[in-house]
Amino acid sequence: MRREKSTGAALLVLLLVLAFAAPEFFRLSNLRELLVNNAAMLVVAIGMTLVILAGHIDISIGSQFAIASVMTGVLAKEGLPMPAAAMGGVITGGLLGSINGVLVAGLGIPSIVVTLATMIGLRNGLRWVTEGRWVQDLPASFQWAGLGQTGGEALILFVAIAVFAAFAWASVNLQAMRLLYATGSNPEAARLAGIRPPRVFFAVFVSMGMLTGLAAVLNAMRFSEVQGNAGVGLEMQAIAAVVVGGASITGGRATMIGTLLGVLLLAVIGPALTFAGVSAFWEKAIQGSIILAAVLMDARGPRRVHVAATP
Amino acid sequence: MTIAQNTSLAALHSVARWGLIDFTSERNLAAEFAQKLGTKLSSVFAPVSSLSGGNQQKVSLSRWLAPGPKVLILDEPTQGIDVGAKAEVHRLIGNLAAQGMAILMISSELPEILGMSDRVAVMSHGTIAAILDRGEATQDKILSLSLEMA
Repeated sequence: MRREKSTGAALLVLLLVLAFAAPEFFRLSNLRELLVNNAAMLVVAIGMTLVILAGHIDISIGSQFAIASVMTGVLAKEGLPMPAAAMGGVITGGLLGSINGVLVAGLGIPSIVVTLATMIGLRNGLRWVTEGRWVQDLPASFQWAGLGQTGGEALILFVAIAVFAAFAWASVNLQAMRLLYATGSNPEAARLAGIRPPRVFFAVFVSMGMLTGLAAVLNAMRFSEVQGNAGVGLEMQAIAAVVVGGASITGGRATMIGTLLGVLLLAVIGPALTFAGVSAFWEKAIQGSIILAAVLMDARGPRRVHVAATP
Repeated sequence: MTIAQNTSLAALHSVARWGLIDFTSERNLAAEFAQKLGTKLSSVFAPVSSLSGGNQQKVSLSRWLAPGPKVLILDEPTQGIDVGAKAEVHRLIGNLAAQGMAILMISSELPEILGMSDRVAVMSHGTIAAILDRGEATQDKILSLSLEMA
């Protein structure tokens, strides 16, 4: 929990500075917008936490996100009720994730190579199919799930918080999550203890895809049209949030609360700079420095001892 | 991972119900084996990496004892641990064997082999050169058998 505490402290300091430098940041409307904008990000980052826990990486989620968004829009346009269209988006994500899962777990290809290939392949496949068109003329029941902006925003926040709570609980209590921690910590020791790492890896990539699909739905329902090029750069933001949240990039150590703090920290920095009057050009540079600092803390932390037991 | 998590890893099904981990029985399992093996620890919820090499080895041994095996294969069980811990591990292996567990210990340390074994299979060039009973196994015999050119 040490690294999670540092992330929490950094977030607190940032909020304190904002409280003095730009109290208008804390206007309710501003905070609500910030949270709604980042709800989908949190859902994706939870999936990325699972992938990084397993010692893998998934950089194809931006492309999965775009396809799931378009699929949800198309299904809604075809007249499916919103819950069914949303389910379609989640299933689409799961299926795309299972492609990565089969290639990584079944064939043993490194995940960075597999997901680089699917990132490019899926994105361009979508471009070829949609020819860059947006999904327009969506039924009124699509935007905000027909609940109006206030109700829709409440629904988005509720879903994101529920997903977070479920995974935070599961990561402590579920036998399956214990297998994930053990496998990411030391795949060979886990295999000797009777765990099948390929199954764990497959499940992780499918979960990542489904959560990406859900995030795509949460994002798409904020608008009256679905863009064909959504989710560019999503993977970088998600990985950044997880790493800033204190996860070990080599696997085996990460917490859901850390990821939540990482998402919030990165979410607050952008608007904080704007309120502080810093040029937006600096935003990415400062985000990059924070990520670098987090990775350095991970690399310089206490060495893990691999004698016989799993650390 | 913690000592408790390491101990229960190969026997998770025995401390979980409906896919949920029962933390009380996990703690009891870890505490039971820590006591049996004389593992020196402050808490079963401390990380394994906080223990000394010998105590880590005992946690590792606990993991394989937790599912209650009939046969235990140990590959160099005392490599890299201090003399005191080594003696304790030897005593422990002796107790397990006395309770009826079949133990196959692989070792390259002659005093350990002579002190522990009921029967010794000497390997040479990838095959078993001879199987000696406790009475006939001597340092010279084992050495000459293992160095013999096939």
